[in-house]
Amino acid sequence: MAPRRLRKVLVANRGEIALRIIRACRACGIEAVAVYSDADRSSPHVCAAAEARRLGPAPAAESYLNIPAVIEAARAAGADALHPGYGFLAENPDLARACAGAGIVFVGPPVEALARCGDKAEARRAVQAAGIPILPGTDVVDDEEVGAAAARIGFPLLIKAAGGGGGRGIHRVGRPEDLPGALELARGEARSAFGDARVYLERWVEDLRHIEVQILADAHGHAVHLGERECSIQRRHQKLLEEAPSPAVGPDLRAAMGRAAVAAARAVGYRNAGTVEFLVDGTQFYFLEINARLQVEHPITELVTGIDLVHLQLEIAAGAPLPFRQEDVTLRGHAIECRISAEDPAQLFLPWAGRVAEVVLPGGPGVRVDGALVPGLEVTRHYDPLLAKVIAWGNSRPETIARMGQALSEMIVTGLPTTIPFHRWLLRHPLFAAGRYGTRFVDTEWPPGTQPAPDLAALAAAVLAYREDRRPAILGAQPAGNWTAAARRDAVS
Amino acid sequence: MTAYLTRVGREEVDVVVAGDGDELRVSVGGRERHVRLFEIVPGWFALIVDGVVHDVGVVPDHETPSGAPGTHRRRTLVIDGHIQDVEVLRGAGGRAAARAAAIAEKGGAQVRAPMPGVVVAIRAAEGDDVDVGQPLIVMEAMKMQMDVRSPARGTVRRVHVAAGGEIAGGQVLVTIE
Repeated sequence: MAPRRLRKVLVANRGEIALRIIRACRACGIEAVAVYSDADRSSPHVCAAAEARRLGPAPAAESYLNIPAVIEAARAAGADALHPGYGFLAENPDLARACAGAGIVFVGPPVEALARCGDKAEARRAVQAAGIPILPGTDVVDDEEVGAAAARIGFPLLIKAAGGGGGRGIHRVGRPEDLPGALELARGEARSAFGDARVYLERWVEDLRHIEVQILADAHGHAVHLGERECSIQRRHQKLLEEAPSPAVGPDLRAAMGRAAVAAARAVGYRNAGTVEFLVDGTQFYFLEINARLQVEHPITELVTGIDLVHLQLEIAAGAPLPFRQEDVTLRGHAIECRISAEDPAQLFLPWAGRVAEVVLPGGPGVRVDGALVPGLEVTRHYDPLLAKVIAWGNSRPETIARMGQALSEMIVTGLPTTIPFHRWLLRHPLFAAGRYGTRFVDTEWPPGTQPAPDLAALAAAVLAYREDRRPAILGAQPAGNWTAAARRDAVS
Repeated sequence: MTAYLTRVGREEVDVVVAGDGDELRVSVGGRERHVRLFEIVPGWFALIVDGVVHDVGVVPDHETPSGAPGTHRRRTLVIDGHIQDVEVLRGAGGRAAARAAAIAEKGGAQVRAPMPGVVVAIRAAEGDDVDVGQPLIVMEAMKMQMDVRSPARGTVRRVHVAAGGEIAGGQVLVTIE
């Protein structure tokens, strides 16, 4: 495949990842085209692009998941490539197929590799054949054989959607008598969420580590890994914080997992950037799935390797060979990412819809913010509540934790609850500081049982009440420009 | 000067706030503090207590749209990154509301000093019938005088302090039946 030059890329996504891709395009002289739904007309990613095209109404099914609308936008803009970001259509083979049909380069794996990775049961089969360890489990099961298969695996086990991914479509079954009910529920959910009722079974192991390996493969037969990301801090199978390298992975395990990840990528015919997920128990690791896309947490790999993954995605999609080999990849320092979402950590991380009032973003050495977070931003129920990713880098893990702690103490988001208090608590937790945590950590440790410093809380609440009680009524609710408000305050003080 | 009864978890903390503008004197749990409060952006504050800086955010809550002065306020604050649920009952009325339940339960009320200070005057004698909000004791603290009011309607059974006496924060001043 002879390298060509990409001229114009349609960024088929929204929010922070759209902005991230637009930045990468601009940095290497490629024109970026944004798309938006009616709910996102005034979003930061729209202003950041050179060109913007409307997809449709707010519901994702009518906009960001609407393949004909996305392809039409790319055609109308004269884009020669399309980057899907993550989520939405990123792993949908139909979009990749539609791109091929329209003569547009899809920035991602080939259609066949997408299909293979998307069928979780088939991916398991393919990597097992390549000699990579997997957890005891089954292929796609039907209702007749499920009982016997479950008995063979043992309880507790997981029912997983063959067409699922991103932590969704997973049901845990503790006892044999719960199996029929859970199976029916899982099939129903898989059908409605993924349009595919097929499920398979996998052994559930309590409190393992969830660690993934970043891979890159070009169209010339080269494939490398870029080390691992530790992703065990989760709730409801959704990641809250990631770090690279993992505090539980030494050089030998890293090399072994890296080799397995590259072998898995080859087994499914992978190309471009992808992630191979593993469960790790001590020095044992088991293949989970391949995420055939750029991951949310890709920046921590960028910070410890010095590699711009999105830039390389564009290069690989254009047919260029990887510019380095495995032995050229070195890891430097430590990186942590906190996913700041509009969720209430005190209320089981319930997502909030509402308007962001004020935003103050952190800075300083080693601090990067990937976000599309501005004052006045409307967070709607139509999309993911992720507001921004705060990423910190340091020479060592303790330095990185300290930098992240400082960054989050500087960060201000008002108007709706965010996960910042959760992240600040986590960074102070002795088990986290010691690197001793697994996938059950959040379930067992959060929320903290007691309220610290009741006197300080009482003082703060009383002082705020006092301030409210004494504030002249005229300054209370009147909306005014900042300048006017300041002038009025000066006049009465 | 305003006295607040606050509830943090299961703990009740008396807080008295005095002062103007940014510079406040606050007595909390019997200790006097110098406090400054700066609004960094609406809903987010720097709270400086005896020189130590704390960050305080007010988390929006569906239950209490805006705490109208004088009413019972429930607040979720984020203080130095810790989520804190605090209730504020303002002044005598708030204290009365809080204590009324205790009276109904125990058949009496003990009126305590909201902060350490000196008793300036006694406004009620043993055997007097008093109403909610009626001043019982005048006390001085932080160079200011304030009324300690009755939390309930009832009869003064006992006055535990005398004019001119020094009192500790939380000390029982008057018992009402």
